[in-house]
Amino acid sequence: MIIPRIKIVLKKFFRNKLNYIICLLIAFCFSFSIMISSLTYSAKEYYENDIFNFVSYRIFSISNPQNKESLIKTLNNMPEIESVFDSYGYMSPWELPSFYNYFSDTKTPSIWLLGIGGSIDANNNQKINLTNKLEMVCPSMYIPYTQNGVPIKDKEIDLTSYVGKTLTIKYIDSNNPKEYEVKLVGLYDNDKIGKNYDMCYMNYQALEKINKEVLNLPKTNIYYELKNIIYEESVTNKLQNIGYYPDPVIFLNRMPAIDSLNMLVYISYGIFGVVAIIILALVYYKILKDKENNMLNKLLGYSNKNSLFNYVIDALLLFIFSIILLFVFVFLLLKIFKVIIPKYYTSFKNIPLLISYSSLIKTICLIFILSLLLNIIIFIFGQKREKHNV
Amino acid sequence: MSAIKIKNISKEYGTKNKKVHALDNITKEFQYGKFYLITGHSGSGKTTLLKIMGLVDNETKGEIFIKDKDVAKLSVKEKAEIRNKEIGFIFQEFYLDKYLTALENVTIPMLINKKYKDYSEIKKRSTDLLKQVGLESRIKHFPKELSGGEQERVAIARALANNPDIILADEPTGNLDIANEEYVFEYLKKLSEEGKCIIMVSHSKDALKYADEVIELKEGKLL
Ligand SMILES: Nc1ncnc2c1ncn2[C@@H]1O[C@H](COP(=O)(O)OP(=O)(O)OP(=O)(O)O)[C@@H](O)[C@H]1O
Ligand SMILES: [Mg+2]
Repeated sequence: MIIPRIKIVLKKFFRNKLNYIICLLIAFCFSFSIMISSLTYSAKEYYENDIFNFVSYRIFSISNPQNKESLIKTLNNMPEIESVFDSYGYMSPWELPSFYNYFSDTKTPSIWLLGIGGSIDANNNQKINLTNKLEMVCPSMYIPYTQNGVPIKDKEIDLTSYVGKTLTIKYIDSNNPKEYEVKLVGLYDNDKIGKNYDMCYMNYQALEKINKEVLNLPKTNIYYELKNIIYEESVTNKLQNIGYYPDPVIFLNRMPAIDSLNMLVYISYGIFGVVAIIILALVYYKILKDKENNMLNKLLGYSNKNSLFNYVIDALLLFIFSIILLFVFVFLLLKIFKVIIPKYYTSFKNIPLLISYSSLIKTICLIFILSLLLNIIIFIFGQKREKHNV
Repeated sequence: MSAIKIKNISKEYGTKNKKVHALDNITKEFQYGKFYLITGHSGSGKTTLLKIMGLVDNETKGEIFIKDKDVAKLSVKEKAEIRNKEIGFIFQEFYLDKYLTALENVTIPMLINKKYKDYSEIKKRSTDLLKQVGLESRIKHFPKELSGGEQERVAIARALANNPDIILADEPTGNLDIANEEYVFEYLKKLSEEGKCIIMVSHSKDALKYADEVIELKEGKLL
């Protein structure tokens, strides 16, 4: 008679509104916490795999190495390193005479050039391999002027129509103002890296060649580009062991988006705490209500095993129903968060919101344990109270 | 074979300083086919006696035999089985399960009785029992949709579910009007005539007419 007994427990479960409230509250508070950990998870994923892996963050430099030749040899032998170059890059800006008087002021828009060894992640998921010809990749949002270090947004130049064409660059502080024709082979999304609104990338050999022509300075910096940002620490450690101290070419304030989440995390803890208290109160109320039922079952000849069976089925129902509601809530919150989060947390504008499956699975396990525990507590309480009241 | 035999039963409640002697050295035999009425003032120990005989509470001293079986030698599980199959309870304080319909309430004791192999059998028997107590039109009603008298009759049907030989009823008509009360007494009387042992606690004067034997309790003692 297992099936009819399960059916009875099922009927009782769904006819008791208290169960709905408990399930709703459990689903609500856990779905909220899932969303918060998903946000953190999304931001982490994004920064780890996306931003930090962007070419700028993979380039490190070592200034004034004692033994340049042996350092280059060592670096070339490291499997984590994509390319090594000895460069003048990143020195002074190059003017773009094509944009002279672009903003009807006297200043000429300029760019910084950085020489790189490997490929660059350009827009539309393109990987552009820069050859040692005069080619460069520039930011899709090019802003040549800054004010106190902040780019002046309304001074943006849209370079989209220049892709595939050549631009003239001119070295500024030199008594030998040479000009070069450089082909713009692509644009990269500088929104990903925030600050570099006027940084263009060129193959380091090509850049080295033109730098030599305009400046002819002794080389002082060795640059190396990692294959992946995850090798940063291991390479840095190896180099420090042999007495070299590399610096990243571009620093990024790590995970600003995650820091900005702290507020939301506290809110979620708050909701969690309040809801937990409400659930406790409801459970206590349920215990009182079930007391009568427990005695009734005993009176009608239900053994402990029989009663426990009913409670376990009840726990499973509580679990399944909470999980269904949890999925509904997560789905709805995901929709809401996708609208709200980019509005109030601008650092999340470009971050795709992903559900953290590990936290989802953890939560499901937690709810399972919780519903089982809840019913076992009710069962034990019921047993105790019978002694005095029946 | 007697239905229930109790020997020198005593029951004390409370701690050392605050003791209540609810029952004091009671010896009695209850036979099949008889209708027993237990009377006495409030607090004289009537409910306590029924609970002990129904194996829902433990005696402090004494022996109990149900169908000549010594209860002291039974396991918890065996006691539960006796409560399920041999004894029917109609206790005023144990209402129906409010989330179940009249029919579902009556099926509860049968669901754990291995005698029934098929749910349709249980359903049929429950319907028959409800019919017998005149509730064929109330089968799908929830307790809150039934009157007090109707609820009491559902409880009687439930007590009879596993066709027990012993019925223990604690003030089954406490909240009922005279017409309903008469119905319940007559029904219990009919059951005793069919060979069951009926033990009922009641304050009602009319109950005396139906009883084969009246047992009076006073401060936990038999009079
Ligand atoms: N759980 C308990 N703990 C302590 N004392 C109890 C308990 N149950 C009953 N008593 C006491 O035992 C005595 C007998 O109680 P019982 O319920 O058997 O009386 P009763 O004859 O059924 O009374 P009534 O007619 O009012 O129902 C009373 O004095 C009561 O206070
Ligand atoms: Mg009483």
